[in-house]
Amino acid sequence: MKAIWKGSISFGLVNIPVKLYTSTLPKELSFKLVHAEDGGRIRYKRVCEKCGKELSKDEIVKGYEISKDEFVILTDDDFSKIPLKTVKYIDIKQFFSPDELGVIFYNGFFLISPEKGGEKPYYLLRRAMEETNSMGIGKITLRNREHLVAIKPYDGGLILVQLHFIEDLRNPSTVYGWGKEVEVSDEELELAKELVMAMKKPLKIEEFVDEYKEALMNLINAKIEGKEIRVAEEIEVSKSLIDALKASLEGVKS
Amino acid sequence: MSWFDLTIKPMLAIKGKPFDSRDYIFEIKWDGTRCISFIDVKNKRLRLQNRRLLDIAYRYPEFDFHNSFCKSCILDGEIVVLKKGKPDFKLLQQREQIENRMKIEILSKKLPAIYAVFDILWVEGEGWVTERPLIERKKLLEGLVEGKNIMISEYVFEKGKLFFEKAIELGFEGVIGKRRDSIYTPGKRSNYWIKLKKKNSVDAAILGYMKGEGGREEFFGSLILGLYDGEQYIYIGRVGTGFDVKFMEWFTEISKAYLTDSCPFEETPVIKREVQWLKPYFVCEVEFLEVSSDKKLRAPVFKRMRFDKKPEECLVDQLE
Repeated sequence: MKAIWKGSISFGLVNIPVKLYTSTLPKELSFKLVHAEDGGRIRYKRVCEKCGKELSKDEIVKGYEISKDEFVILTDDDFSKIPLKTVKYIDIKQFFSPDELGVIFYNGFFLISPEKGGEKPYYLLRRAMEETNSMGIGKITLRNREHLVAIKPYDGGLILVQLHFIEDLRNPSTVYGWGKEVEVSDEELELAKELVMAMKKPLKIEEFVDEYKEALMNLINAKIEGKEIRVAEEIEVSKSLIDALKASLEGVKS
Repeated sequence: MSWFDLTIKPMLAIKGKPFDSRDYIFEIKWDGTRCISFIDVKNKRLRLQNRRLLDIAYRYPEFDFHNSFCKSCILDGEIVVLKKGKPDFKLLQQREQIENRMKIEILSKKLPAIYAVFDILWVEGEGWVTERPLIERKKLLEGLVEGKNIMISEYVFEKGKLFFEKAIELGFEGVIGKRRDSIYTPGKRSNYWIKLKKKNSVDAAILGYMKGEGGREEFFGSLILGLYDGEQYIYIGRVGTGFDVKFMEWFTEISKAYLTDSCPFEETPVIKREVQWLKPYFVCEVEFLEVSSDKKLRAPVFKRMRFDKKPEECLVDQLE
């Protein structure tokens, strides 16, 4: 397991050296594109639409499209001119109550692990946030972009929640039916509530599996069936080799 | 801490030349991944720990021999993938670098591994047996080791030279001689165990590569090798053969995270072409003809990656 970021969390005068890990496992099933006839891998070439020339990486820059086919060109030099603060640490600007932050702001999670020497302040921060029911908010730079993040105790550790900036979110009230009150009778509401309560039970998330993935996996397994190697046979061969070896030593005086 | 959760450094061997001795037994040097196994019969669980003290059981879902044992124990052995009865390291390596659970599952069927057991450290009812003579420990293994995907590494007495010769003839990589009365010394290297290998080889840190030319333009030309002397890395040469395009493509990709502009050697080696340095992380085994007078490898050939070893474990004394 490799950390994706190393740095520290700072709040007040406290500094906690930490590592970040992704909270999800790598995607299990992915496909490569292959030539049907001979099994060769498919490669992409970067070709300029205008001159048809194949380009190397250093000939390619980023363009911001202002209007159709009209670009403002930005080079690596340009990007490096934008100052990025908070490079190696997460500066906690404030703490707040978790219910003040809508779930829609949540944009992914990372697990925070203390680095050597950071165990105690890490534990202290976790306990303090748990007991005051607080989360912290600050900024972090990941992959050359500034991100808004929150820190939250979770299940015996701390997690980093990547947040959307408010300007990135669609205003829900622009969606039809949002926030609309419709007239219903008490009976109707009671009935609906009963239905919900009848279906309500403790959540066992592990009961929900990706059935499509399982089916796909069975399909792949079926295709490689018959190519399995029998271990017992290999061990037999190995044993007979060693027996032959031993036999060849017998009767030879050293 | 319970015995099941201990971390134990495996006992190590020194290098040597084939010999005969009444004080020694000889067995095949199994070419795979060194592994200490913790077999808990009562709770039906198995823990596998490699040389780097990391848990690796999740990579080998085919191992279920802990259900066949009748006593809990701690064993030492080597995980191998057999091909025609002999360990094939290239095949094992396909198992080693995979984290994807589905591929682990598929490969556990396609390239099933076997645990070749050669020592025992602890056993239920007896306790620690590391202070007992090797030959007694070997006897404990018989009647204990049971199940699929597992076998005992057999041994012969005295005749090391002939055993070595015949083993090489059959296509094994080498032999290991062990003192009959020796105790088990975790993490230590001594003449209790002496490895006899077919070819000269060294485990070296990969500290950079030469930019490739011609067909290797996208990848690299050769790997820059170094050994650690306890304080710094010493340059011992470059290796440019023994790997194929597939390996070059793979290594170029995985080494990206370790690129650095600063030369990891105290003294920058004289290399004319363009060099890309790497932070010390990767270790590979390289075979070679001999060591030149200025301590460089002659006719080196890349053998394999060694993810079970740390770069600072690649000591200069290997060339002595």
